[in-house]
Amino acid sequence: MRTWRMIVGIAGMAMAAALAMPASGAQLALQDDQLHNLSGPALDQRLDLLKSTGTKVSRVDIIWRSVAKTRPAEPTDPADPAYDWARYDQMLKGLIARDITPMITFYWTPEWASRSGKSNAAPRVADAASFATAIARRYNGTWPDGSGGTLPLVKRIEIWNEPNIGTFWSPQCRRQGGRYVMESARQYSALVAAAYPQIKAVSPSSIVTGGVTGPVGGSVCEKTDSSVGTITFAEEMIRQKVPIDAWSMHLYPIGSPLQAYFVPSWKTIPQITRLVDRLKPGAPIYVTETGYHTSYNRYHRYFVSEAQQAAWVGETMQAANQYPRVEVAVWFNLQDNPFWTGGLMRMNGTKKPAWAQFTAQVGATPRPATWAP
Amino acid sequence: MTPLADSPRPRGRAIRGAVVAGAVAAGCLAITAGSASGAVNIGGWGQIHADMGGGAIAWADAQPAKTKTFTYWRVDAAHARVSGNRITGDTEPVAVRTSAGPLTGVDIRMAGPQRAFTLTASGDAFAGPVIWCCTVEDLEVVVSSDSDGAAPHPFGAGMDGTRVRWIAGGPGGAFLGSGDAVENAERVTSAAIPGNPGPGLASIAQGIAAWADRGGSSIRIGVPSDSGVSGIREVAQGGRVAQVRAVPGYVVSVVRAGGWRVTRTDAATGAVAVVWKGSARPQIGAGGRAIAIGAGRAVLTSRGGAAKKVGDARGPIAAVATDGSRVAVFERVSRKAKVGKATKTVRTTAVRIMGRVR
Repeated sequence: MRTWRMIVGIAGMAMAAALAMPASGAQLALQDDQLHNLSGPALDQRLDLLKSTGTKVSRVDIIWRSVAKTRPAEPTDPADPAYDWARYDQMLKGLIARDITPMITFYWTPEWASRSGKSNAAPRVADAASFATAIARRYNGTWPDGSGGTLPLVKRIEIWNEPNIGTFWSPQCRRQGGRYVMESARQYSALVAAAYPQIKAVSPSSIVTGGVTGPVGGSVCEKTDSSVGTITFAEEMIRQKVPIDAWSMHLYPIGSPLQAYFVPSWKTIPQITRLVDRLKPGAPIYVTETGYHTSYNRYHRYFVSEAQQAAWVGETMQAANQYPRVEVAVWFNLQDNPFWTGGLMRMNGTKKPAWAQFTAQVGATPRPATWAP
Repeated sequence: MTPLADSPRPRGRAIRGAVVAGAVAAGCLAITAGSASGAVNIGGWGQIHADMGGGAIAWADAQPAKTKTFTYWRVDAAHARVSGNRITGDTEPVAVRTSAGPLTGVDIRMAGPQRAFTLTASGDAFAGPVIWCCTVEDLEVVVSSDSDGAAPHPFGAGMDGTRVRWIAGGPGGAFLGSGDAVENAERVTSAAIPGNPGPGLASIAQGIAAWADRGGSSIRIGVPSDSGVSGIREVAQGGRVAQVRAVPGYVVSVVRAGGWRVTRTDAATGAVAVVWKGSARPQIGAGGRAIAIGAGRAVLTSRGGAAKKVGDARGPIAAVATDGSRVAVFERVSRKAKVGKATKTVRTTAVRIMGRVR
């Protein structure tokens, strides 16, 4: 079996080299969802592991309820004593030191800001926008790092994660006159509209990224936490005239990247692009999560074989490169966990065939200057 | 600094939305239930696996999902209450989807109160999950799931006390796995067992495990526990064993011996009785000291002796199940229906309670 894996790996590398894309193509990037659980030397070791994949871009989760366990008196001031940024400072400095460009997303509502007390509660607009502002200020390239230098500039800031899914934003729908109506997109639009000028004011070069939609096709509001489809979500943001610099979304296609056509998948990017143009003409599209699971789990009931996963890393980039507006495709995740088996590594730390395919692919892809740290 | 206690990010049931969209795009019909009519219609003529007991019925429908440009494979598991001769309140809480290959090794068994069931769904070349469904929050428990090419394939699962047990095989040999039917499937254990089981050839029920080797002509019966299977008895079946189904006290086998036969093997004594013979492979169900057999369109039952006919289905029988008093039949039917502007033949599998065990 190991021999077979090696053959798949070598074949995958050869295929990836053959499919090497032009410098203007999309970036293949990688997220490690364990980073925010680590600190100190363990975090550094994990960053080294991430670096060893060859990725030049990575997405970082900033967990709002971890940074701000209590309500800050001055929420837009990153120096407010209620904030604890230590591990994120280490993480972002560590990524830059390893020549990896970070993108930031933030989510999980603190208890003090949550109507329900739960982390997935839709935040109050003012609270979340203030936190976004604090992030942008701290990582605008001028904030002192406490040791005579400055913290890095992180240009790309995503507003929330998958606000169209109840797991991350609740409620999605609310009862009105005997039926359920969509609520999340309207509330989310208000958040982005509030956060955008505040972020720009403290970090003018920031690329404020909205949408961040989870992989949902149809929208049927039939209960509080029904998911809202990507298209519906974007249409509501258009209605609300939400300012953005870039659109991001998550794609977990059923079927191969080049064949899948259910909304949302790579083939539906043109449909999304037309909507994004109504938000901001020509805005780039970031696919900030994509991938394939290699075993069944409750949260993701579609899975492929490890060999398919490896082959579809390459196909993902082929699919992404068909759409010039797509600047980045972030593979999620570095390593499997019980809830997520789309990693390049298994839970036991061994590498899947997709690891070799991924490293070959990123090795063949120069990072555009606009994406340099 | 104190590490945060944040768990990895469960991404929610996001894919479910996409799956639903996919299923619609693929033209796959979901269950069109029938709480009003007392029957249930399943879209298509998939491979059906079913079990019945405790006032409920559960079934798994395995079929390829053909889209415009590709095919993937799916197993949709559903459960419903059975009240008299009516099937009511069906739900479809578990759906396995894969592009790894056809899901050929499927087994579903009732597993406790509240219509709970266990489900396994593996392919020829890859392992699938072992699932117990569901918690009071309607969440499934994935007791085992590993699609690494070297992972063992689960072939049959069932509930034994508070433990979900399953029989799996692979390069490392066969084993009996066990885990709790609780969130995160705690206390998972495995213990080696002899033999080389395959799809359809392993079955678990309360206090009993039964399995047969691929191509073998005997079955093994024993008592499962976390440390393995004890008191294993090997019982010849007089032909190649094609399917085994364990229920408390006995094992039902489908055997190829010239023609086809259904045997009933007493777990305590090892006595084998042939309850049915025929020329085509039958569908079997077992429960509550009874055996149900679907042969062509004929529905038969046995309480230990020769099977007796209790009725005819309206179409070829895809599966049967019994709780010891009633028989559920999954019959393949087709009808003309408007699909858009065209009139097409629509295939469905109708589920209905037919007759009583004789």
